Amino acid sequence: MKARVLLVEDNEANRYLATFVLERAGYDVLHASNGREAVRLALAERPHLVLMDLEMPEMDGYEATTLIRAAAEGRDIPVVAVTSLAHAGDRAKARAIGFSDYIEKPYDPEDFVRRLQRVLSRPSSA
Amino acid sequence: MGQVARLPLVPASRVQPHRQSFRRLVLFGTLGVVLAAMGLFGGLMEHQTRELAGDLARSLLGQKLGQVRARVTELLGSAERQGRTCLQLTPPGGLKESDYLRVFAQLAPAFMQQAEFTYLGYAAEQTGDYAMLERFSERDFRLRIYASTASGVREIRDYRFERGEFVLVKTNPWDQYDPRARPFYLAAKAARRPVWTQTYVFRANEHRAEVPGVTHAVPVIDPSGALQGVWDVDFDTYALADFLKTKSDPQSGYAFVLEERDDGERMLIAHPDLTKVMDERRQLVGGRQVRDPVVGAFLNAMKGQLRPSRPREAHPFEWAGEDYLSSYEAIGSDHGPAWLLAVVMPRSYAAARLDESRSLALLFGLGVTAVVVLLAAWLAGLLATPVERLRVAADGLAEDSDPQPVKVEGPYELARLAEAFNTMLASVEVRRRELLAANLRLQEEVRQRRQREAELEAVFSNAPVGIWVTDLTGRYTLQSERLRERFGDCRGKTPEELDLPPALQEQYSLNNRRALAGEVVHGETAENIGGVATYFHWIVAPIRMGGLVTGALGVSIDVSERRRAEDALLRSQQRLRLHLENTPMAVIDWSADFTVLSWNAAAETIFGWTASEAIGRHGLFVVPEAERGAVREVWSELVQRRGGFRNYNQNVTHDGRVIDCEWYNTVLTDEHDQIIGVSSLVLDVSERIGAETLYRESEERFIKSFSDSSAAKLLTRRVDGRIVDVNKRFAQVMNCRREDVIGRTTIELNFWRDPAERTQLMNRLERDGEVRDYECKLYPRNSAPVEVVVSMVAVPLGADLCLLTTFVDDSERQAAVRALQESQRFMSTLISRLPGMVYRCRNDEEWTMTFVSDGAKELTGYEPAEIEHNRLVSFASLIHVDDRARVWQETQRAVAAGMGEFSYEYRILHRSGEVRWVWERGEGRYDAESGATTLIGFVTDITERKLAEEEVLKLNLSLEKRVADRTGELAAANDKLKELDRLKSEFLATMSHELRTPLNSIIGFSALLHRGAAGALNDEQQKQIGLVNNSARHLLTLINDLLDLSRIESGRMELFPEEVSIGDVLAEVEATLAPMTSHKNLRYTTFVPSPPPRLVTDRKRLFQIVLNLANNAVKFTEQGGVTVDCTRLGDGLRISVQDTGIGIKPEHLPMLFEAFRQIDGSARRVYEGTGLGLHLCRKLLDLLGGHIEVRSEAGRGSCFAITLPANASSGGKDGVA
Repeated sequence: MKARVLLVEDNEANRYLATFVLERAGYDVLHASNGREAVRLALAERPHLVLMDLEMPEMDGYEATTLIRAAAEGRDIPVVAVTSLAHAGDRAKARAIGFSDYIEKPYDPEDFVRRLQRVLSRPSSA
Repeated sequence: MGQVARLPLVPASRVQPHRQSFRRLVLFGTLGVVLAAMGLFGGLMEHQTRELAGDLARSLLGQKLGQVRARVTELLGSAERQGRTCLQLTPPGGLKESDYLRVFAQLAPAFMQQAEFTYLGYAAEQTGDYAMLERFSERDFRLRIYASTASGVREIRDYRFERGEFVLVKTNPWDQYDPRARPFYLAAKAARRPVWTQTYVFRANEHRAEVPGVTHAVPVIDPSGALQGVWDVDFDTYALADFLKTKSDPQSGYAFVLEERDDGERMLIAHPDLTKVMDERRQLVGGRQVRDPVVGAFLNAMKGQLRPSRPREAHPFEWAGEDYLSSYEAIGSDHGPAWLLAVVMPRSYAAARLDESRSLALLFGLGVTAVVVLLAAWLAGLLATPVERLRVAADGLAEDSDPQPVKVEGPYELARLAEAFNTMLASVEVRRRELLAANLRLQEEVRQRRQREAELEAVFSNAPVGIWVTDLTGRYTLQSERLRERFGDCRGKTPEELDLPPALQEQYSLNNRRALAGEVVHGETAENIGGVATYFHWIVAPIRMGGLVTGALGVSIDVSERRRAEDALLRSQQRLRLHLENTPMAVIDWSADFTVLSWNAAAETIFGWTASEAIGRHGLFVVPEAERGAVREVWSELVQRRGGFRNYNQNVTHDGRVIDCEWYNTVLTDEHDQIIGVSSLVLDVSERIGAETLYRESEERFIKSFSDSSAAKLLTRRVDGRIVDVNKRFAQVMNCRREDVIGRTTIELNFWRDPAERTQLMNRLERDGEVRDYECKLYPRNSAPVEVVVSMVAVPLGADLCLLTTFVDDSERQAAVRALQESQRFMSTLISRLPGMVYRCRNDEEWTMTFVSDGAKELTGYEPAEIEHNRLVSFASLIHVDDRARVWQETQRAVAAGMGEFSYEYRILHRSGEVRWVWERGEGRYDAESGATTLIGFVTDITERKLAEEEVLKLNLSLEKRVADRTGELAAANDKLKELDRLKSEFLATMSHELRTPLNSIIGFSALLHRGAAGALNDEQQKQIGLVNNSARHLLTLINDLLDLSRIESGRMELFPEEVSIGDVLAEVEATLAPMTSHKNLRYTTFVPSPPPRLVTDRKRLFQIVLNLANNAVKFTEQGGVTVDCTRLGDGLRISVQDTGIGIKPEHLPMLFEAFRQIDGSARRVYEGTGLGLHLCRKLLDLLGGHIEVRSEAGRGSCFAITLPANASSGGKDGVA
């Protein structure tokens, strides 16, 4: 069975890129373009992994992840921050909220996939 | 320096002259040996001569025979070869007439070469024709044909050989010659084979006479066996004879040829004497008959023995009394001529040859002898010369004529001998010098000994001591002059025999005996000499020679004087002790460290301490606290300078009284001038000092004032009026001399015109106790009277009461008044001229002026008179109303404080209405008479200065304001700038974020496309999308650097220090750069100390810094490599990145770490970069507490080195602003 990944991304070009890379790597990709939608989909669909942009309209990635973590259904879903926020403070904040990893944009597609696979292969996510 | 007697080193004998010299021995010896050898050799040679002669003869004969045989065989052989050649050229049917020219033309060249052949011909059987080649000389020949003409007439045709063919020269009529009748033809015809004829006579013709010769005849037989003709090859025997002649010699013998004839005769056919004869035309004209008797003798001797089987024997025979030796050989074959070759030689020749060789041997022997003699002479010379040289040197040594080392030459043994000689010479020389030196020493010793003896003698005769020596029996053997004077000549006597009291005799005898027993005795005795007791101190000691006592030596010294001095000293010491014990002065002895050593009775009395209490204490115990410093100084001066003999100081007694003491201190030293202590005498002078001080002081003061006074003073005794003293001024005024007036009265000296005046003075003195300002006249001697003012007072002077009279010259006072008036006038003039106002006023609120100077007019506009006594205006009204109270208060404060001075500035109102600034300085004076205070002062106009000051003040004030304004503006601008800066940083942070978002898809897609993830691309597309990816990445780096910079500059850069392993960081850098280094084929080396250091720092930032430096290094290096070296530096680390790249020019180094700098434009084009990297590195290192430095050489490479503290969070600046 293919792993399902929820991609939360508001930038269309980046969404396309990530989708392309993920599908080629053999994942099923669900999409959300803002935090609110992401929370709904994550809890409803319970994907194997959520890729969360941090800066988004309506609800940002921090809030969305906090909500997912707060719900029983989302407690165990690994959430990886994928962001162009390069401030060290952002990384620390993300770690505090409970992100599983923090991928800085721009990323190298291969590196990107490797990072996801590493997160997915962790025992906690099995 | 004395001459040294030279010792003969060698016996003075000479070698006998008849002895043979070395040279002659060698020469004759060698010669003898050589001659003996030669004699032996000669004998042996003689013995062998006979055998040798035989051998030689055989050898010579055999040699000659061989030569002859070879020649004959050759002749015969060539003829036979010619015959065969001819036969081959002959057709089977024989030669026809028509063949002659052709065949002979073929034969002609060979014939021309074969000079020994005389004829070569062909005779035809049937016709009797004959063709022949006929030789005239060695090179000249012709063809002669005997043939018939066509008409059958026989004729002779002669041809000449020209260019390979015969040319008919002439035709002659037939001469009847028929070859078929000739012997050769007949022989060939008979034999039917090639055959040799016996010797026969060749026919003569017009060219030659008859000659003997032989022919080799070859018959031509046709196949049917019929004889067709005969070939003949002829040579005359002269040819053979010519050859034999060349080999013959009357001495060495000769060869000849005999022919065995068919008739058994032996015919001589060739002999050296059988020679051709040439005519003028060089044509052979026949031979000479030879009759050689030797041949006959030979044949006789050999009769019946001529056998060819024994050739080469030396057969002896004799002819005409001479011995010959001969050898012979038959040459003969089946077809050859039967010839016998013989050689004869006189035996004497062989002997002569032998003699020749013997004389050669002799000559050789002589030569050898000569050479040997020369060699021997040379050898003898070679040996003799160094020997001679050695002899000369040895002679020189013997005669001591400054021997020189022998030059070492010649054969080894001689060289060694010479070396040995030189060594001996050197040692002899050394020994000689030693002897010389020893001799000199000896002489010196002798001289010194003589001198000592002389000195000793002088001592003996002149010594002021008695010296004597005794033998073992105690008898005197020597005595000095003094002793002789005492005892007369006592040599040979014992002490008992001297003219001495028995006790002394016994004493001296005992002394000698004790000394002889080995003891040193000394003591003193007294002798009565000339009625005076004379004391002698004596010492008697044994004289030891080689450990044995051989006598006694005594010395006695007259010590009478010393004894007397000692006695006197003793007595004086006793006296001194008495004095000291009874003196009222304290006597104290001190050690060098100021400790009491002795303390006499007087000291006990003065200081109150007993001797037992005082001794051993430090000296300061008798010095009061206040005086101790001074006393210490006195002590140190005493000790150091041995000075300070006398001193006054206060002391303290046992009961605490302070007394004045006078100290006499004497420093005591030992014989080495070392201080052993101080002896002090102390006198209590307390009472004396009290009175004395007062007295002396007043007396001194009195005398000083008396003598130095400018007033004339006179001191007289009250009792009798006699003058005790006058001062200089008095003597001057009264025109007298001090010494003339002392001891006399003023009356006597007529100083008073009227003595009643003096009486009146004395009365006033009686009444008032003193006289003051009594005016009177004095009458000096010989000059005008002087008006004086007299004062008189009684003073006690010593025991007397004296009167001190002072005369003040009134004329002088007048002069003083005049001088004062002058001075006052000067002052007033000065005051009136001063640019200000001098005033005197009463201390009231009106400032009532009692005096103002003329300056008031200038200052105030009012005349002085208008101001004085407030006539027109009061000075107070002139003072500016605002300053009036202040001036009054300050003045009163100064006056109240004790007539102090005051000084202030204030304004006054000028008469013109103008306000003027003045400065006043004054003081208050209390006038005791009026009980009021007067103010005196000076006021001056300072308006100009004040105005200037105000101007400056104003200027300063405006300047301060301007500065304040400007500062404010700057602060505002600064705030604004700070705000702008913050905004800029914020903007940059935001912008960089916004830029990263689109960059993500650009980098991501271009990477995917480049890897063919979205389908294969053609090469161009691949290249282009690769460029897009690179550019995007570069843009990202730029953005990251900018972001970092803006964070640092806005102070928002956060650091996350953690424990970092440097090894890991450097390995990660190396791994990151690996693709680039391998692509550029560069060497990349990382050195990390072991164990790998760890430090606390921000790992990410450290990685960023090192990566940046290493990336630059790789980027700017095309060849060689990059070395990253990590070393410990104190607690921290030093990481250097060294490359072999393009390097940096010195002028670029200073701006290297500035933002947006990349060294030069061309580099920027080739090496992409943001120009922010190094700047960022430095900024980050600042945050991490590190430091960066660079060393570089353009074209050679660069080395960037960073240092890092052990702990970035403690050592560096806090990253959180």
